[in-house]
Amino acid sequence: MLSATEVEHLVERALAGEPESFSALARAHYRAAYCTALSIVRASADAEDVVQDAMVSAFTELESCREPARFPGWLLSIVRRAALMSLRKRGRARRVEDVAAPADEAAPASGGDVLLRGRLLAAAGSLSDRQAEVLFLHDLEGWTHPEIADALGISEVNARQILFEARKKMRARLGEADAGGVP
Amino acid sequence: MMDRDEEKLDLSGLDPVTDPRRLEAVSTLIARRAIAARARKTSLWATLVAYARWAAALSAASAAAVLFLVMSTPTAPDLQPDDPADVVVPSWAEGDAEPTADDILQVLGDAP
Repeated sequence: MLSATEVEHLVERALAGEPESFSALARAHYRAAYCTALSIVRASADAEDVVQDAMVSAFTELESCREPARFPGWLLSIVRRAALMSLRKRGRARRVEDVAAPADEAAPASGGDVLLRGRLLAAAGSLSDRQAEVLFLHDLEGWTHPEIADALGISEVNARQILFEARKKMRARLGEADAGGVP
Repeated sequence: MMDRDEEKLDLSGLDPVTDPRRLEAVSTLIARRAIAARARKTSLWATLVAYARWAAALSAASAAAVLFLVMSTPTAPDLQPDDPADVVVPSWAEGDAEPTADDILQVLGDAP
């Protein structure tokens, strides 16, 4: 993750109209935004659509980011709203990724990858949105507890506690799956 | 010994952009869409400002025309009597009290 100062400079340069800064901001925050979207929509193709649309709309309204150094938290709140809107449009029917037929044309994956992704998402089905978000941001994107706490507006202690619970549930579900076949 | 639940889980299977070229392509696409959207927003704003200028100019011209018409139209004749005597003298006739000398002099315009 970029430092707050680096993010602030990138936002300022993007506001000044430098195209490369938009790419750099997108590159640096794509995975984190995906983690947040995935924690809500629970399907990788939908999460990618949500992230792309949310990032475009965030960059279009970049002037409304009042604290450029805290851009990541601001972006994630926009992604979260977009993901909830996307769920609402689908009639709140949250779907766990169809392991047999993933419609993810943008990211072609091998059969093994698809199975693994489906297995992980099915296990994450036992987590709350917040637990999934913290778990994905920490264990997939590699954010630290202070970074997660700052972006999500929670305390570091709370972030640690949420992560602990999330891992425990995930391990239990993955263990059940290993013992009894597909979760 | 570290608790098992404190060990990082391997979630690499969920990574949407394992290939750096894909991350680059997606980032570039997002940046292009954002820049185009910002340009559209700016041009929409410029159009609105231009329309607002025309609307303001038109309003000012209309207001000036209305003002000109109002000023140039002759006003209706004043219904107030020019001479107070036209009101006061009939009131003496209608009333019972006789006018005093001062009243009469005031109506005639010779009051001290």
